[in-house]
Amino acid sequence: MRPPLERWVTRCIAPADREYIAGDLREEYAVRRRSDGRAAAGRWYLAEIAAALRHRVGAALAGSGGGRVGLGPRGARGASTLGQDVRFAARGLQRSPGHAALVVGTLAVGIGAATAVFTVVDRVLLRLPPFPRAEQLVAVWNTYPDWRGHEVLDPYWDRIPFSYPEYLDWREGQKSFESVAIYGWRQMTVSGSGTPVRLDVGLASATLFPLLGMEPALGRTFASNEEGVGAPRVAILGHSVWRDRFGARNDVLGSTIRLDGTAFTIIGVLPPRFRFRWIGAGNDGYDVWIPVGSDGDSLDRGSHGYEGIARFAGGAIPPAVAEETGRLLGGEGYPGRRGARVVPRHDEEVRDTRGPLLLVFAAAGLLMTLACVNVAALFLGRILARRGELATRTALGAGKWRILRQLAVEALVLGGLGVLGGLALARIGVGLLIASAPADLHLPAGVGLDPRVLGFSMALGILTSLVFGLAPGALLRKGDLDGQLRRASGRLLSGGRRFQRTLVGAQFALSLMLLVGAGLLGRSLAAELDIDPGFDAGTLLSFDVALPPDAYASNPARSAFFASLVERLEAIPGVETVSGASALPFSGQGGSSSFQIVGREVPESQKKPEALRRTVLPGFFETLGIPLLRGRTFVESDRDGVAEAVVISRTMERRFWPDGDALGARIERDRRTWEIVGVVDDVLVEDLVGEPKPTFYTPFHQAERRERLTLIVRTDVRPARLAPQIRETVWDIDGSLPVENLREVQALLDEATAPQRYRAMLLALFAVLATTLAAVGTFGVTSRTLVHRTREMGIRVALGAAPGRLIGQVVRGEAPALFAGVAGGLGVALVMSRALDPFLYDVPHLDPFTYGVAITLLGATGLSAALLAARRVARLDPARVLRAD
Amino acid sequence: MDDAVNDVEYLVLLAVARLDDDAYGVTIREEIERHAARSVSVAAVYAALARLEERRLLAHHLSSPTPERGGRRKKVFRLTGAGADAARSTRDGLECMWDGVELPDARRSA
Repeated sequence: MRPPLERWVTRCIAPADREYIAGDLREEYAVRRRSDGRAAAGRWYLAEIAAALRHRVGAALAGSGGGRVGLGPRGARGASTLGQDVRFAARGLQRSPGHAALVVGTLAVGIGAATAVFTVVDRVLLRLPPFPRAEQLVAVWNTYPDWRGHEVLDPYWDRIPFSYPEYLDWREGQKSFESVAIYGWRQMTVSGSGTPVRLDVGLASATLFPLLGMEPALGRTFASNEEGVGAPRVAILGHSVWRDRFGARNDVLGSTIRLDGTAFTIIGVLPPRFRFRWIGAGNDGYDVWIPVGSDGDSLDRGSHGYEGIARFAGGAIPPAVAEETGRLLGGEGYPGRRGARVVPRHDEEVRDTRGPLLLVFAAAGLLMTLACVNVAALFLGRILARRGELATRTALGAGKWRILRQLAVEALVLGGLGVLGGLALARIGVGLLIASAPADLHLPAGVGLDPRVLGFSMALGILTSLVFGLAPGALLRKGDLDGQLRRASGRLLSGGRRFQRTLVGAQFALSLMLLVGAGLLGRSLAAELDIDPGFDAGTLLSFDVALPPDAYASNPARSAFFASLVERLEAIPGVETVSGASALPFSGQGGSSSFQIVGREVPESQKKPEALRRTVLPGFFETLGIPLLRGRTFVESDRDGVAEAVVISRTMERRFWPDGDALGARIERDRRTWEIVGVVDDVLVEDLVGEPKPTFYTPFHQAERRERLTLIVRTDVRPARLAPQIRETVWDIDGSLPVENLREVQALLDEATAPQRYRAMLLALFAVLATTLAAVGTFGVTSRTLVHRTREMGIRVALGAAPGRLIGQVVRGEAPALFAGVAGGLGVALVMSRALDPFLYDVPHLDPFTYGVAITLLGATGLSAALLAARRVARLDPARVLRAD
Repeated sequence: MDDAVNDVEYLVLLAVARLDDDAYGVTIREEIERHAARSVSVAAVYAALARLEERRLLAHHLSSPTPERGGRRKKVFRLTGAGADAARSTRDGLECMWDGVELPDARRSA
């Protein structure tokens, strides 16, 4: 029975003593383990090791050569002086608890913030996903250079997924990659036992799992003939579905799971660590996998529903690789109009996360720097205050090393406490960082503190306190310390004070940078929240209903279902109006469509006009509060068998019918002709900060696809209160239907600004902490300076100086450092705020208002801190001050 | 006094004397715990052993290795003549000190 850490412990024992001491320890550990149990024996062992190390460290510090007998004897004397130092340090801390609390608190805040943020940065940006040779995985996209600069299509031009035939061409023709694969994403309803739920279902080519190097936990992955048209209905379960819906049973293989009403035979289960997601928006992982083609969806060349992934073994990716892929994708049809983009998959996954996270990291770094500077100032102040004590101890015979050692012990005790506090804060901080992060950032749940990060933070904290705790020791040169201290006293004092003020100034510089950053982000956020999205989101509730294709096989059946659902929902007390749409603004859903204007057809070789497309139920515009500008909106009679009607947005009219004669014009789409019957005002759909995009709306009851719909309910009570009744109403009609994403529409809007709020909130938090630290630093330094001038102050008060004048003098003395710091910070902030530009909306990075407020705030804080310290001293009774001397 | 020992050293000396041929780190600690009802850390025992050996009050030899010790040998101690003298004189000194001592009742003084 080997005790914990035995190998490591054994190495710490002097070689001559190693054998018998290690033997004794192991023997006794074994006895205790048998009688008291493993945990108790382990505790005993570690306690003994700790006791032995105390002896040893003591011996080393006592200069006795590290203890001649490994774990022991020489240590005794060293330990006693070390013990003295520790006791002395503890007493010193008790005497000045303020100093101790400031150092520990400052270090804890700095280390806590830096560790928490770095833990997340490390996990999200630096660590690759847990696949073998994950650095070789690349994301592959189609690119359509034609789409660049297009008002609707530009955001997508270099991120176009594959269609299955394109994938086949690519797989057959490519020579650059070790292997290639595609995967898609559908939401499907799982039925059977329990409430029906929508699952995120992955569609995988047979090559995907081998490419990832992923072995299933149970069963097998897809075989090479299990993909494409008519692929067999087989499924691989994600670990959580296996656990939650199948009770983690080992005999699950061969049984079936019903997806959208169709049975799929389970052939495998993935291991819990399998984490893989669709890179496009909205997906945070998959619940179940089925083969490409097995969902019965179209696999034609135009259905770009699959993201590409490949394994590239050659290190940096040469442009020829993308060229080859682009050539294969282009085929004959589109010479020069198709390309490909090949990028490391991890870069692509963190594309939207990197910027915001690095910004927060930089802010945490500034805060940590500020904390170090603050600690330095605090230690320096304390040393200056203790000249007398050190001189006395030297006079009583304490050697230079002894004094240095004592300084080191004090610094280590404070540093250690600071690190402990910092780690506690970091633990909480990581949880908060992740819990409050918007979903778009894809921060993984359950991130613990990483040992490497922990080690780094601990080293940083201890080093900071040691360096700044010992720095004053550099003033102690060889020879007669006492005389030196006395002689150098004046010089030390003035030099030290100057340095201390520089440190305070530096804190203000750092604070200003954080304040400016937080201010700019806050102003930008306010500007975004001020934008009118074009509809009224208050008291609106929305939810999704998807109809399984087998139970609702025809479009009239689907229309009938939704019409009856709307009717029943409207009967709920508290409901004003009900409507529905294929996609709501800010839901991340919905697509665009090309069309032709009848009478203005463009030739095949040219790009057809393109606009966003939504299918909506009657009452949609009224329910959302979108104003009708001209013509009419949809009515119940806009259904199958009646002339197709379309309503367009103001921007669409302005773009294609600048003379305002859109009403009555006709557009052609899906080989059908649609007459424009109305023009409505614009609505922002994806981004608050963008321009409205041309949009057209068609009636749901004339649409080709009616399987799923987002229903919207305008209420005159608090929307959330109606949620249970809404679910009941749906299940009254059909109990097998899942009611998904039931939420307030305002929440969708809030989500759109969530990343901005997250950034602004974190920076504001750091700025407040920084300003507080700077204020505390100023207060500490000023009051300590003044304590040494109490005698002078006392005499001056006794001679009749007005306290007000004294206070004024003190504050004037501190002001230059403060303003120099602010000026320095201003200079740096002016240059560095440029980096914030990509995050700012409607606020220039040199916004004078933000700078003005930050400077005023910081100046006021600093002066108040100095004032407070000065008042404390000026209120002292002069007689008592003089007597005390 | 040259052969004076401190209290842990005294306990270690007596434990070695009691243990005869089987006095090594583990048994010495056990012996002290069992008879003196005192728990002494491993490091303190080795520190005392090393000091006592340095002053030639104890001597040692290495035993053959055993499996429960991970194949390591023991350092087995025995009392030297000087060690026995030191133990005796410590006892005598303490007894002289006790002679005529009257302590107040423990409960009342507490």
